[in-house]
Amino acid sequence: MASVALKNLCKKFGQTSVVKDVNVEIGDGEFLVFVGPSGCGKTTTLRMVVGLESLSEGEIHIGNRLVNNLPPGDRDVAMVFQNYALYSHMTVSRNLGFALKARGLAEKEITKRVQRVAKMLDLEELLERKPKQLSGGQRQRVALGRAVVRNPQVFLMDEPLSNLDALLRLQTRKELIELTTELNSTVIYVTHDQVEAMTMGHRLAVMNKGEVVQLDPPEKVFNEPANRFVAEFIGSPPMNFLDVEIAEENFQKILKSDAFDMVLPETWYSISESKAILGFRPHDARLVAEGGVSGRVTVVETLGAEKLVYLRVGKNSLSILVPATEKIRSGDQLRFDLNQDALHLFNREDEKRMPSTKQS
Amino acid sequence: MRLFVIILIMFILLAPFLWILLASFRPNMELVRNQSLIPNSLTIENYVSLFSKSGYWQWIINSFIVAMYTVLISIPLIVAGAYSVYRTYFWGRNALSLFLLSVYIFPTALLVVPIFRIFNDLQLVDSHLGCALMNTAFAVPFGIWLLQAFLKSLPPELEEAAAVDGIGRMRTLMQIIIPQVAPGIIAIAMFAFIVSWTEYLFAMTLLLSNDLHTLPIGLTGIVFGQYRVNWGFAAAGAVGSAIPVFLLFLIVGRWFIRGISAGAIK
Ligand SMILES: Nc1ncnc2c1ncn2[C@@H]1O[C@H](COP(=O)(O)OP(=O)(O)OP(=O)(O)O)[C@@H](O)[C@H]1O
Ligand SMILES: [Mg+2]
Repeated sequence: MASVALKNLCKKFGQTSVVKDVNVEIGDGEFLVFVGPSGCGKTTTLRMVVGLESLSEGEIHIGNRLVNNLPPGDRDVAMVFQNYALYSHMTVSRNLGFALKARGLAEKEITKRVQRVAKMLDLEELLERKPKQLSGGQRQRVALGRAVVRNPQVFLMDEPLSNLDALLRLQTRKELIELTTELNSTVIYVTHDQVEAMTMGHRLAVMNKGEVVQLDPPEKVFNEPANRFVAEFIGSPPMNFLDVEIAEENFQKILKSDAFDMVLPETWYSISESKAILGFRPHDARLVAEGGVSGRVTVVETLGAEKLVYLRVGKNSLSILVPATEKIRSGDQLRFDLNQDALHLFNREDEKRMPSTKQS
Repeated sequence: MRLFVIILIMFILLAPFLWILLASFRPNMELVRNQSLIPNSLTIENYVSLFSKSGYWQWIINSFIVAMYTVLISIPLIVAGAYSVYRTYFWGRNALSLFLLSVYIFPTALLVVPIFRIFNDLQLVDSHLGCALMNTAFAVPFGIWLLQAFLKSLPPELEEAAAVDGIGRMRTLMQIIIPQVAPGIIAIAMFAFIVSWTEYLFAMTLLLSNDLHTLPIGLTGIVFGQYRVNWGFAAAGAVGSAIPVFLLFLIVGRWFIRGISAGAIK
């Protein structure tokens, strides 16, 4: 296994910039996830690393080699494709062994490695089948096995779970985490599913419009999103946002929105702006009998243990999570309070996070 | 209603074949005199003379040799051509792939004399190989065009996976691409076979010796006898030349369909 460094990576298709100045270092044995909405350039970035797409600018290092000009086959990386790309005319065992055979490994060594991987991925019973005779999950494991058997420096995976149904995806996700931990693999993983990203990644590289907007461990991305885009994209149900003004009264900073005023905790006293965007997650609100913020219920969605309640507060539409036992119907008037430690403020101009002194 | 339409279409398509099949069992005199569709008398006389009094077996063998040459030469050319037009990038690639089919816009009769002269210089006149080369020239452009459609239906990830796994181009072509489009290649081989089997004009010009003649030439020779056209005999000849192809299709076709359902993409 090896580390990977992407330096000033840029990709243009004609005039359009698809990947813009991506700088990411992936440590040996690290599981790094590129996550972002559709079309933000994740796949293109991955394809540049593997060598299927040329670079417009920048450098890619794998281990201590600069691989910019190496063909994919010489980079010693393995890729798992979204549609698996299995060789459908070959049996599972030939699929697994094909790359080794092409590299001229001895037949005995190939059989040994294929057997070991088949055992690891629970494919032993399926070795003589053709891909067409396998279920989606089994095909996925064959695709994974084809990568593992080569024992490459780096694994690259482009949405390998997205063709599986929800339950199987959960299970395969867990298996994939176990496998990569056991092998201590360096993995670059691409997904647009933020839950997958949060659960699997040691670190996330959140992408938007070709740029990496935040590169941090999942907890930090969740608790201290670098800007409004990250705050909205990561976390489900998504964060609420509303425009507020910040006023100073009696040595206190007060948040004023069109419907309510709120005293800011002291940790925010270092900021100087007078306008901001307030963000809070639906589960950071708590129903109260009096005081707090008041709003009228528009829609109630039952999610199981909880209910997601949409409220109209002043001109804003907000959502809060409440225990499913609360009896709430649309039209009701509700009061809720916000967890003071879980507030986020974003600059109105560039939508970047405003730092508080508690987090640094 | 739908059944009726199907039967009608089948009838329109099959009627000429049925007529020929029937005619081949009717005495020639009856065919000349009586135009009715229902035969008064049936005979196997036409087949007896086809099989025992003509060069039928020799022609079949010759036709088969020429067709096999054609298939064996054109398939590698078609595979290499289709793969390079579809996958490699060189200047003028699109123009080339459009230009391919323009081979067919020349009336072939115009080519007879120049081809004869060229082949004469190359000593390819009066040889089965020469005849097969001509058929190859007609089979290859369309074959490339057809195979390209098969290649385009392959997911590009297949080749990309091979590239990432460090499998060379030639190996990828031989062991991954070709097996994936095998049904297409078999279909194209059948196409080339038929092009050659039914070719008349160039076989007529290029094959001078009687013992090299292929079926179409041989049959024309005896059907247009010295004094009059022998229709019954012609019909038997037509059936006699269709049957080998029919049998071949029956064998290869079954394999072909199995190929499609077993291979396929997913
Ligand atoms: N070969 C190409 N030519 C031109 N534009 C391309 C090409 N490949 C990708 N793009 C464009 O680059 C952008 C990024 O594409 P990419 O496939 O990297 O997105 P992605 O983040 O993987 O999205 P998804 O989650 O939908 O897979 C898209 O706007 C796409 O239209
Ligand atoms: Mg993608």
